[in-house]
Amino acid sequence: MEPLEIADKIKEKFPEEVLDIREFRGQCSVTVRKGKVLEIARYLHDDPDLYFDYLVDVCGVDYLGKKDNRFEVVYHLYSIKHRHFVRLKAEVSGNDPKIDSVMPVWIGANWHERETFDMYGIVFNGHPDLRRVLMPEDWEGHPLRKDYPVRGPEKEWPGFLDVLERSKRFGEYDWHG
Amino acid sequence: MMAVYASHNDLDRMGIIPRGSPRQSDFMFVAGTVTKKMSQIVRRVYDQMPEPRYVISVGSCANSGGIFNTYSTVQGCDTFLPIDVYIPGCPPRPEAFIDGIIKLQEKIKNEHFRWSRWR
Repeated sequence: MEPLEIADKIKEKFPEEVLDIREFRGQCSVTVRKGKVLEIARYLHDDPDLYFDYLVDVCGVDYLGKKDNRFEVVYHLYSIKHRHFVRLKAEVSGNDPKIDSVMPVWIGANWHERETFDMYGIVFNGHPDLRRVLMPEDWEGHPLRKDYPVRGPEKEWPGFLDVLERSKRFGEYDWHG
Repeated sequence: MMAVYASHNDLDRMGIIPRGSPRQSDFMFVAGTVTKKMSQIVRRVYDQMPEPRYVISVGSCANSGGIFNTYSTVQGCDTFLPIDVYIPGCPPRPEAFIDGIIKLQEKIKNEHFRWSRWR
């Protein structure tokens, strides 16, 4: 199917949920409300004409100060059978960053959602194991948020302070010429 | 690093033979960006090496953090390791690599006391 046909099909099925449809260079993005994202995902996966059986990626976006809803979760979908793509975006508010997990539909969303949680602090309801995946488990804050300082917070991560302390302690036994 | 081990430059001819374990090694390369999370493991690998031991820091990222002056990156692995030779470059040429190793060999040759039986 052509990208805009896919978007129209989603709009037809969920007229209340679709906020915006954009096409750029043959790629189509559909912005939806976050409430029924799991139902939309289920429809995209199960409908025989759409049949999006491959979840390419889940990412987050932070629109701090640029949009009313601060976060956006972006799902890149591909159909191996029909060879077509679509990009699904769900808006998530800043003061209550929660959205349903799409794990029941695509099991591969597991680590993608963990990464999005790690970097943006967006909580995925119904995720079986929502832990950090890249940063250490005792890390504070979510680094890809726009209000996170690029060079890290004032307080150093305790794990690295441990390494520095240990290196100082063991340094006594090094060869000093 | 791949190029310098391959047949064109061939580190084996200088007696540099990769070992599978830090416990069998005399020196180690720190190659690539060291993150804060990884620094614990790098330090542990170094601690497992038997004396006498040497460290070569390879490339801008390991030397100083390189372009990554960010929350997750260690600004130079010399913050927690005693480095003997720094190899500059992003990425270093194989020639720079070999030069760094020759520098280390010269350094080892000059450390008479460390290698004598009176130490």
